[in-house]
Amino acid sequence: MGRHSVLAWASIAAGVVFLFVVPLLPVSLPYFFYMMFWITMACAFNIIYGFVGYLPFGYVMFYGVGTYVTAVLWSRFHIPIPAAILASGCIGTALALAVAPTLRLRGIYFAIVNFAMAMVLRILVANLPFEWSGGSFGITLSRAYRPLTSYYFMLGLMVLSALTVLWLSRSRLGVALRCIRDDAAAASVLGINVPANRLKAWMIAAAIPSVAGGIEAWFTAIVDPATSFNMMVTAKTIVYAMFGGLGTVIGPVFGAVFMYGLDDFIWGRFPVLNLLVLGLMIVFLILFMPRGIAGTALRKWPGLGQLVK
Amino acid sequence: MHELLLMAVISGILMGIIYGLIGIGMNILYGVMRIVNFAHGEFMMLGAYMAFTLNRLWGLNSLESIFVVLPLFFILGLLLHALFYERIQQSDDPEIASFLTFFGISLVITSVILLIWKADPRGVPFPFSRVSWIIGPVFLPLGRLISAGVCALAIGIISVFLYRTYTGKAVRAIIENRDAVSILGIDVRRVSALVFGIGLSIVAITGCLVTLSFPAITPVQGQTYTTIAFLVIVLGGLGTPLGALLGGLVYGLAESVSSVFMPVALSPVVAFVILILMVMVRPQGLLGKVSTRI
Repeated sequence: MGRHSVLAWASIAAGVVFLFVVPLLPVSLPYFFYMMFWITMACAFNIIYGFVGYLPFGYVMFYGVGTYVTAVLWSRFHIPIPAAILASGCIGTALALAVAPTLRLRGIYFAIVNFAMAMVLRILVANLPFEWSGGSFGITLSRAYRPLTSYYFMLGLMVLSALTVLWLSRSRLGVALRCIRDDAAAASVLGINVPANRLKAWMIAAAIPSVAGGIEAWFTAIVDPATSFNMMVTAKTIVYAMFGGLGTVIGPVFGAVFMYGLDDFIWGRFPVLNLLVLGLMIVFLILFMPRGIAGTALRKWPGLGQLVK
Repeated sequence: MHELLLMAVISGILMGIIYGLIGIGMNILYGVMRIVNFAHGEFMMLGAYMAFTLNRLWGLNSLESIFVVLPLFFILGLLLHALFYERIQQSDDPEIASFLTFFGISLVITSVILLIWKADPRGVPFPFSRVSWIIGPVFLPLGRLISAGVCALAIGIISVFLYRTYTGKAVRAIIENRDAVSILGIDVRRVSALVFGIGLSIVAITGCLVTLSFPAITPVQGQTYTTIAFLVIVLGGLGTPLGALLGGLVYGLAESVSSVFMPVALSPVVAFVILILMVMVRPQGLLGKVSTRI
């Protein structure tokens, strides 16, 4: 390990320790909860878009299903929250498996179909029997409200998803996924099992936001269809991950921390301008910085490779 | 029951023609430039709100305001082309880049509409004395009838442009093969700029007509129209300009006939399910030829 790597690992460890003691400090707990939430979402999104090159434009559906599975299991079937969160992850992964045939599609077709599926799920959830999902009003979980415990659950999930991406970037699977992204036909000729590998990535990328949804439902203690299937969740995930740098390990983490901070700042001061700024930011990023901070830095100083890749 | 079904079919055909024009506006951009205009519906809403303001200021009705909004949108199209065309074409994956860029633009438009016109539903007063014609057992909604008429006229003009003029031929040539076209000496950049202008002009027409066909407009309706446009062009075939008319009719009929048999809240599901099935089974559309599956 070089000097830079030691420094990088030390600062990451310091960050995690800091997040661990946040509840003891006189700072806003929701702020740091949502920061970790977005880091988790951006890391998971990176697996499917950054590594494999599939843009799931209805990514919010996994998060949304996660929130509802936890809420319904707890309120309707009295299953303890941790078990319900685990079930969220399982059902989210099962959903990914169910929609796996769409992975045959590429580029814009995949993005649009995924988007349409998220819309279908939103309408179906809103039209579930009222005693199940509470219709448009949603479900309250106020009797399960444990902000501190759910905070640490999110911390655990965030660390887990960042480590998953780190492992992926150094594993055979990660190499195979990058090959598929760059040229699926060539990867197939090289003996890479394209459908099996991308399915693995797809299921990992679905499981993480599903669990995150379950934990977030616990933290806010309320779920409703408009929030759970809000397209802005997809949009923000894309922007945060892209700002940091897709396809890199550290990029989405950095992007989520910075952009969530900026977003929160703008939201607090100019609520109406929030959407405008987000929109302009997306346009700017796509056109001028499609590789994000980490990707741009990597191009300028290839020596950073070990740190960010 | 029979009258209800007959009315659903008529209403489906009328809406289908309008959906067809909405789709053509998006499809012509995709065909020529591979640009996926995810802000299509938001641009329509911008046009609708402009019609609302023109009505407030000068008392123009929805049809008259087309003559003001259309030239403005043509210029807006040229402006968008000048700003984004080059950058998008240079990126690694132009389709996805354009899709995300225009998604960003859609957020910008929505927030601009919210800033200028606020979130309250707005409407343009209905300009005719009768709301519907009654022929035998059937009610014909006049607003939609006139909207469909205007759309049919616009589709006719576009067809003449595409199939009977020299420039239209160039547009179709670019859709068929971008690379070969520049060898033939066609200035792809200039034709693209023109197409952007035409695409946005079509959006202007449909945007103004929304205020004639529906009693109220809200800033968040844009997404619905974008989805409809997508659905219509996927049905008709991405990049097959007039296929969108067929797609519009299929979707219009499916939507209105299904609403006879199903709860209205579930009727958007029909649209999305058709979209998903269509892309999975026949991604090239009902009329398209190019296969994109690997």
